[in-house]
Amino acid sequence: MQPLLELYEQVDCYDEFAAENGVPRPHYAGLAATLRSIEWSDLRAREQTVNAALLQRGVTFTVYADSRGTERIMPFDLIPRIIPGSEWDRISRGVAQRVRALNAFLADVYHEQRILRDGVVPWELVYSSKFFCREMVGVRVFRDVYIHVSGIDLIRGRNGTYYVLEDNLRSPSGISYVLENRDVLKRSFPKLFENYQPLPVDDYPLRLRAALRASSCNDDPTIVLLTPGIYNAAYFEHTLLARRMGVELVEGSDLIVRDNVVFMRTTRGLQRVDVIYRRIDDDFLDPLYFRPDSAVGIAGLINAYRAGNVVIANAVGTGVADDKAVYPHVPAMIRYYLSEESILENVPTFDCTIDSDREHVLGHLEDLVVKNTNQSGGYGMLMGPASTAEERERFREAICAHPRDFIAQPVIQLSSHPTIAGERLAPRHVDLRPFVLYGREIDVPPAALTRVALTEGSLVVNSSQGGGSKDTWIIEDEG
Amino acid sequence: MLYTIDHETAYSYSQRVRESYTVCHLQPMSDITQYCTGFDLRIEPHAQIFFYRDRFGNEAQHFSYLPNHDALKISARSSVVTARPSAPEPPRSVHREVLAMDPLLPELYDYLHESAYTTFGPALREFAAWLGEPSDDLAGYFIRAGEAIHELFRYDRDATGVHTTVDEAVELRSGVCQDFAHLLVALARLQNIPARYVSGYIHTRSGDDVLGAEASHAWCEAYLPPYGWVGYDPTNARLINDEFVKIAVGRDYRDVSPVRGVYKGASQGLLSVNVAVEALTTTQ
Repeated sequence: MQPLLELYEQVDCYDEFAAENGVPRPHYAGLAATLRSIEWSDLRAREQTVNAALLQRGVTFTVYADSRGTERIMPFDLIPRIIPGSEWDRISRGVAQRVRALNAFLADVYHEQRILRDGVVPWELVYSSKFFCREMVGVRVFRDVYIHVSGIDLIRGRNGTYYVLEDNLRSPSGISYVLENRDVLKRSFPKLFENYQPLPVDDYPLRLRAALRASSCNDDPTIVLLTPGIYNAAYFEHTLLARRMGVELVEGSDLIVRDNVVFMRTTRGLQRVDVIYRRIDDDFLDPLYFRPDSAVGIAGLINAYRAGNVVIANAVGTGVADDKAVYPHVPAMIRYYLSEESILENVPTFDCTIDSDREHVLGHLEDLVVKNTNQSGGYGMLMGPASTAEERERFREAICAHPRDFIAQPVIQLSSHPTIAGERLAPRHVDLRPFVLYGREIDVPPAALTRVALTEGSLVVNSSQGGGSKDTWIIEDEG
Repeated sequence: MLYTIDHETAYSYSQRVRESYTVCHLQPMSDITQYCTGFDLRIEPHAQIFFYRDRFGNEAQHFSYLPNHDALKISARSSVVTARPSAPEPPRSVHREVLAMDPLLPELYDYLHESAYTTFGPALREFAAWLGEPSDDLAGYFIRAGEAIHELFRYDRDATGVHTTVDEAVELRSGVCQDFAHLLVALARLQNIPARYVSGYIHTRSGDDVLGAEASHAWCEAYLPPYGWVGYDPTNARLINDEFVKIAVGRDYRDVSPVRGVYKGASQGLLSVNVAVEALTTTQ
């Protein structure tokens, strides 16, 4: 029998699976035992079955800026990531706290602007954000809830501390992988689940629906999921969520605004819509107010929204709170709005609009990660240690020309996790994206996405940059 | 002064269009310098009209018409009382330090930065350099810049279009009230003086020639403490007096365009606008 685990060599970072002495951490002991009893050839065979099943189900995404331009399945790694209940408890309290503060920030910047008046967050920062939606100033949203669905990206540093890397408050995707990964793994490889009863993830769509129902003042609202269409990277997810929630999947052309109320065209005539769970960007929502060339939007939607006749989830304009240049201020928001200290730490961040920070960044480009504040998904990023002199020069010029568009962070050695690599298990870097729902109360379902950088040494886990995913098991602590 | 204003906007389409959605800024504002005593908006074919106050404090109106149509007419009739002096005193000695200390300043971010129609291009910067520094009197600079536009630019309805940028107008040295207002807004902002675009009407009883009286008009306001917002019309080189009626303020034309909309259909609309301002004589 191939020694599956004996060959596992840790690298210089926090390893999820093994402690410093190489012994599996207690919550992985059961999995280690199972893996020891599995033939390598069996593992590879299961891997093929699982991937075939995912492809057949259409769990795909599109990579933009890829000349092949095709749909791929997000590579799925069979070895699950396990999170003990006590750790999850802290994570879920931490992300809930964060979303509460970020939501308060949105309600504030679109109304009283107290945090700006009090000098806690600079005016300039908010008003210069490409995502500060001026149409939303003074517009009341039901219950003051803006961030109905969010995904908070977490990473672990060398000593195992969780850090928040990024808040995703617009339309975070990835939950379909969580649902499908678990389902497929359970069917194709039940043996892996010996010794474990991970908390179920399959009630996520119902919890999402509950949050969306609570977002409306109507007791029995009609909910639709608005997709930009089949060419969108996350179209599979849109179809899956709509089906599992039992709501209509619609495109812009299926909706029409009549007398300031939103209706859906159905075979039985027009039906009033109360909640739009939209998976399209603000810019494309309404050609009357945003991009006039938007072919996927609904003319007049913003009027209906402003009048309170429809809920848009997430609210319009949430992007100002997940602007990467606003991110460094989140701990201050938590203190300001909640009078609490952050449960989860931020990664130290250099703000290129501050002279001393920018000087430091320009002097240490090869040691830092530089991110463009207007891009996401791992696009527009400089990974200092792996960069060429030419790339650094390009970023140097861009930073000097547009300092507001860049932040920089030290390179954090993400934690690693055993991952199938060629003919062995090897440590690969992972992150974690818990999803947070907010209808009436904040709900953090135990359904988190683990993304894994499949290339040895790579610290970029984005699916668009060749990352894969793992099933993530949240287990209750024993005793 | 008492005014009644009829403002008619008519679109006709060579082929039928449908699902028209329109937003209007046609209702004169009420503030301490004028009061809108009546406003009536009619749409042909008939459509239900909705109102909201936009984030600049303007009253906005919107409506939709969904069935096929080949014409759309928007008729606004307003009554306004203005209470500005007929010959306002020019503001004097507005110092940079006073502006810098003004507590309102941080909120005026949008009025201090470029916007879609008021970009700081090379032609604008060159013109600003020629004008020279504001010295210590910001109000003096604002009026000087407005006068310079009046003197150096030709009023020409055919030179520019509704989407002309400031830089294009500067290169052409000509334009209409919209271009001149954008230019003055941009010049003020370039010198860190908060400035906004104003849409409205101008009318003179005396019958002396003013430009822009046949349609909606536009000018510029600068924030000059302790005076507050001071309006100047670069098209006619005058401070805003009781010959002007204000409709709305914004970053530029786009925020306050009297009528804008979207519709479905292949046809390009033919637009005709008719404005009639009538001053009612008051007996004293």
